[in-house]
Amino acid sequence: MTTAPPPEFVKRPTPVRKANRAIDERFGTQAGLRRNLNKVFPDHWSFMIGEIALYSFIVLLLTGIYLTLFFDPSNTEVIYNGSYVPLKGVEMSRAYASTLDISFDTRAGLVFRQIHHWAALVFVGSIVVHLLRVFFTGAYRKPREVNWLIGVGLLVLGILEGFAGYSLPDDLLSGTGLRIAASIAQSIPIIGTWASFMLFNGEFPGANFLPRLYVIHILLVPGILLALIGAHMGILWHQKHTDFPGPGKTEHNVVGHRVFPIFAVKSGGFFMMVFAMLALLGGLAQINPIWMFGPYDPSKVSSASQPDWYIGFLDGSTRLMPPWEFRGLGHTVPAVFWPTAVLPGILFTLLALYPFLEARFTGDTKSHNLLQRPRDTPVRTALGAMSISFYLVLWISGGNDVIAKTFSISLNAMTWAGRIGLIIVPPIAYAVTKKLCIGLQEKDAEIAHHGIETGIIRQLPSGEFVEDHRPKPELVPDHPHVPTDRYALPSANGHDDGHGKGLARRAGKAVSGFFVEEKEPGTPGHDTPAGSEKH
Amino acid sequence: MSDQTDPGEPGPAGAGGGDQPAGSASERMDYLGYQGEPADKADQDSMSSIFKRAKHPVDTSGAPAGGSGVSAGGPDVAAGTSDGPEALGTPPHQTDSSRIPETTAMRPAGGHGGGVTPRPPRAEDVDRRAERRAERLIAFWFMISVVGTVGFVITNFVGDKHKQYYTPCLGSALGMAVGGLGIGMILWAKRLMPHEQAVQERHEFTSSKEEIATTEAELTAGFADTGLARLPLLRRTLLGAGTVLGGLVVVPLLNLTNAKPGKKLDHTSWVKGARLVTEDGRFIKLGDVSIGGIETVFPALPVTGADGTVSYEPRTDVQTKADSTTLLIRLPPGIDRPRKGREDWSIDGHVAYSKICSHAGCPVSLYEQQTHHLLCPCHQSVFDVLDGCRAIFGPASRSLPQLAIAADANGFLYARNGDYDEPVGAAFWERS
Ligand code: HEM
Ligand code: FES
Repeated sequence: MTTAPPPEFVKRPTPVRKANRAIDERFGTQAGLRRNLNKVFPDHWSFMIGEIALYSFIVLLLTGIYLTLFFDPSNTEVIYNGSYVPLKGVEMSRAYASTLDISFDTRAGLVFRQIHHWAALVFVGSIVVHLLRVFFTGAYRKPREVNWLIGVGLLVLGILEGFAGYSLPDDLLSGTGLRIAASIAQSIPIIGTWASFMLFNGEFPGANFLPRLYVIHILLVPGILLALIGAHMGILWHQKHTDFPGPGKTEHNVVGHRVFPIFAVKSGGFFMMVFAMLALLGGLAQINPIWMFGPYDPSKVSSASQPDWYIGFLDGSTRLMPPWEFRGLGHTVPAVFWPTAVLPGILFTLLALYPFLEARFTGDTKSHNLLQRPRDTPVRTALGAMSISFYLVLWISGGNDVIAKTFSISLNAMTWAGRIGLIIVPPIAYAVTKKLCIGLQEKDAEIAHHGIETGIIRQLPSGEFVEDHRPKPELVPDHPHVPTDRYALPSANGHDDGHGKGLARRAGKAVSGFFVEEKEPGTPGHDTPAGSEKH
Repeated sequence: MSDQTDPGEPGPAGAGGGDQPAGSASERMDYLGYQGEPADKADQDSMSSIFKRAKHPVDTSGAPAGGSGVSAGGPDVAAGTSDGPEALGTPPHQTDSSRIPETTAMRPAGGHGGGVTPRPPRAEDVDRRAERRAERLIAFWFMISVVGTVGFVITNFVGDKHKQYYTPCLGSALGMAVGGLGIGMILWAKRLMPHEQAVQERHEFTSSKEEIATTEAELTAGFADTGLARLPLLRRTLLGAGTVLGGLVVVPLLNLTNAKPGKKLDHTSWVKGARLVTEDGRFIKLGDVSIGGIETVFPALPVTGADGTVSYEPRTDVQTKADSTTLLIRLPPGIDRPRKGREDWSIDGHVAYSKICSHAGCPVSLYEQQTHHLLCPCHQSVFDVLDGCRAIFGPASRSLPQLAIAADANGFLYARNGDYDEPVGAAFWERS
């Protein structure tokens, strides 16, 4: 458990050590390598949600590359002659035909297509859940606002990328979605018509639009996503992960596993698990069976067809929108403009600005590394619940025709329920959540003051009955805590961690905050006064 | 949103123990406590005290007043609860059992490790055979992965891609291949790697004042060296050139389309005299559609041949369909309420309206015969056919445009006035 003095330099290096030294001679890697391999990551199940997003993105890259090898993003019309009998002889675009070929005539084509689609759903889903985790625990507070902004960007781009993806196969569903997208672009005041024409290269359905969409889907947006994910991880790495309060954890330390080996092996294993789950879904659960929809035809539509889930809230807002169209002065601002361009614009802007708004209203300008429990911040938690309920009303309304049909409710009733619900549900969610949080806080305070009920009732000499309370036990860490660095280098080493604080001193500080070990003569770490740190 | 109590400080404000000096002795206790011995003991203590208490109700008459009676329970009790009322001699609230010796005695001196049992060491840590067992289990999962990989390869090459089993087998095999490795790796980290948590210090990101001042001075000096502050002409032309160059992005943007919008959105492919033709090339005649019936039709453009005869060329390509798709509905006689000026736009109960929804352009495809309502499946706008396809529910706010039709001598329906007299489909800024 102690930080040992520096080990001997091995005179006869093994091939691995040789390689390490060869690299070091060229790049001087040792201090940085050690620092990064010894980086500590805290352990909590909720921190794995972001990892799911990361891993499903990797799966998207892998399966997407496979699809590019067989997919032909061309609008050229061909007569289908593949092995899917019901569509034989039907005229369709090469894009749709090649998607059919991927599904029926390519080895492992369908399984990778379906994994790709499932991974897209999981990708956006895990981003949203990850965002909620970050929100409700206050992880976005200073100094982590930039990563919050990047995260919002990733969410928006992920939704765009998914939409571009499922618009590629040029089936009836994707064409219908694109038509609505064109109408939305067209609805923007002043520049709308131009925007739509520039996007589609002419009036919808445009001229050779699919190659353009393809570049957006496999190069432009994934490129930006990759860069943003890189920045997201880089900032996380640099700033270190937040953690929940717990035994031995302070604002000034991180308690968890070192990157090498435990965190790396665990994360690698978790990546494999996410991949395996997506592989099973892709193999066993059918998704986006484009052969059942048929090729795109602007005069046809499949009723009760639903977009991918992450588009649902926009579908819902569009459905609930009253027919308010501004007409006058020779111009029109169409009704679609408000629920599909203005509303998401406002929602995502508010989302992005939230950390700054909160800091402004609470006056909290301090940096934070420890997370908060939702109940401890009732207003924030209530705002979060309010937003979720707003989103859910929109999302459910996106499928209101399906619900109306399933439960034999009139569609008009569903629409009105959505319109009214959108106004009254969020405030209720706010009030209820806030009450709940305060109630939980009071309960906590009571336990802290009176202790935990034991269920033992005693009669006092006065005849009164009282229940025994047991003081709340203090939590102890369930793993032994050790310093980050196994070996201590003398501070004078020059090649230290670059923060002006010796490795040994950091070890000493890490140790002194929590436990004390046998003082070993000659271990410099323990001769450093822990209080001499500059803050 | 205030700062939390720092949980790293030993002994937060629990009853008792709070004032235990945060000395090294107690901390060492805590650390050792993990190893098992003192904590186990503490736990036994607490167990026994519950039973003791259950069997022998406590005489609380000794409990009030922070006197000697309390300290019988343990040295830390009285000291830990030195709030005002007690000093005044008021008895504490009787259910507040932290003042009762028996209860408080459950907490071991020092206030650490009480009540919560730290995880005992894993079997793998102390038993070589358990370690071997874990190793074998992990190896088993790694082998499962190999089986999955082999299964994937075999299914891929030997399997018949046209059979039902093909995709499920591939997916399951791949799931096994990566999942086996995944489960194995997680077990490996959990069961065989040391159970310990490293503590790493965080450092502040704010630099020291000297650091900041120096950097700022460097930047200021560097900026002065550029001369931008001194030489206004240099500054202005540089800014100007940058702005002009930035404006250049407009060029590639405009190059994105060769087709300027112009009036394109105002027109469809319908022309005067174009016949109504179905998807499969049938020209619609009076009587083809029964009363209450509905038909999706497209324009068949009149082409005058060299010999002067007129033929009709059906246009059912995607481009035409996108704006010219039209619904032909035959209403029972006498119920249509045509708009002013449109009285002769229909013939014998046949009315024609654009199928492109005036909301966002979906094909309006559901027709309810009883109510004569058209429903758009995209956002459920409802149009009343009898009332000039007025939008009566949902987000659409404009009626579906009507196409004036008539029948020629042979009974073929054709576009009487040419194109729609307003843009079809979704609205846009230039639409008045
Ligand atoms: C965040 C990343 C991505 C998301 C959310 C995403 C989403 C989607 C979706 C939903 C589809 C429709 C699949 C279907 O037909 O069921 C799709 C298709 C496709 N994606 Fe992606 N994708 C992503 C990244 C990529 C990348 C990086 C590539 C290639 C390098 C790629 C290549 C393709 C191709 C070629 C298709 C069309 C093939 C087909 O539909 O069968 N995707 N994508
Ligand atoms: S497109 Fe018809 S209701 Fe929206």
